[in-house]
Amino acid sequence: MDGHHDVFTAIADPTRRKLMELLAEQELPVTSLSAHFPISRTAVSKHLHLLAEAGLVTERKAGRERRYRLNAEPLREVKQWMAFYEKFWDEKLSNLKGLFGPKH
Amino acid sequence: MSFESSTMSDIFHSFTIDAPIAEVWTAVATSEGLAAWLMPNDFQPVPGHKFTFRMPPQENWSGVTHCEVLELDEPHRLSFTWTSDPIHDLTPTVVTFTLEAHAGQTEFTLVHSGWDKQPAALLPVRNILDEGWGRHTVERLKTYLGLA
Repeated sequence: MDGHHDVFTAIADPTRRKLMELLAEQELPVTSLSAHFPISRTAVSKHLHLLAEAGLVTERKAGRERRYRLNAEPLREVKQWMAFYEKFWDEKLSNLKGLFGPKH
Repeated sequence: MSFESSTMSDIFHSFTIDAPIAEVWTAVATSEGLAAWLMPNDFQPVPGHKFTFRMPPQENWSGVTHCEVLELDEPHRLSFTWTSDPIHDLTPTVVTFTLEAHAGQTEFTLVHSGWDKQPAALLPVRNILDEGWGRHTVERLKTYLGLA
């Protein structure tokens, strides 16, 4: 699945891993992020764009700035579905047992 | 390298049903059987058969589950893919029923797996922030995730 390739490409680069670490605690603009690296702001922007394409960070415009944040949403959504299915299967398997008599 | 066990493990249930294996197989591997305890459906016991389960619409979801039969080994094993809703865009999970006969009773096991194959969702975020990672480590991660 294409999404997997993007994510691995994204995290294989040390600059991008450092960017994700910086964004894990708070939203930051490109200017603040750039200050942490010896490369140009354009280069940092390219890394951020790649991370956004992979779904690992979210971007929003605030005035003339672009601000970034780590995206935990995919993880949260999967956990929600898992919780739903834990309850779902408890109920459905109860029905299954019930088909075979009250002693279950 | 070790990973946090906060990665998604399977949903697992196993219990004994006081009925012969053929009866339990009928209950879990036929359309009428499944409708009686799981949901209305158009299942057919044919590998590759695509079918749906339907329940009343929920808050964020149409109530339709899209499935495809993967493995069928009467009366021991049935597995099928399970996609709650195409628009959620998650990788399909897999439901597996396993039946084992024991002296006129049946041990029934349900596994609902594949939660750890979701794109990006598997990666415990803290683990990938380790500065020591290099290309070799990423390859090992791919293998661990079954993607290499």
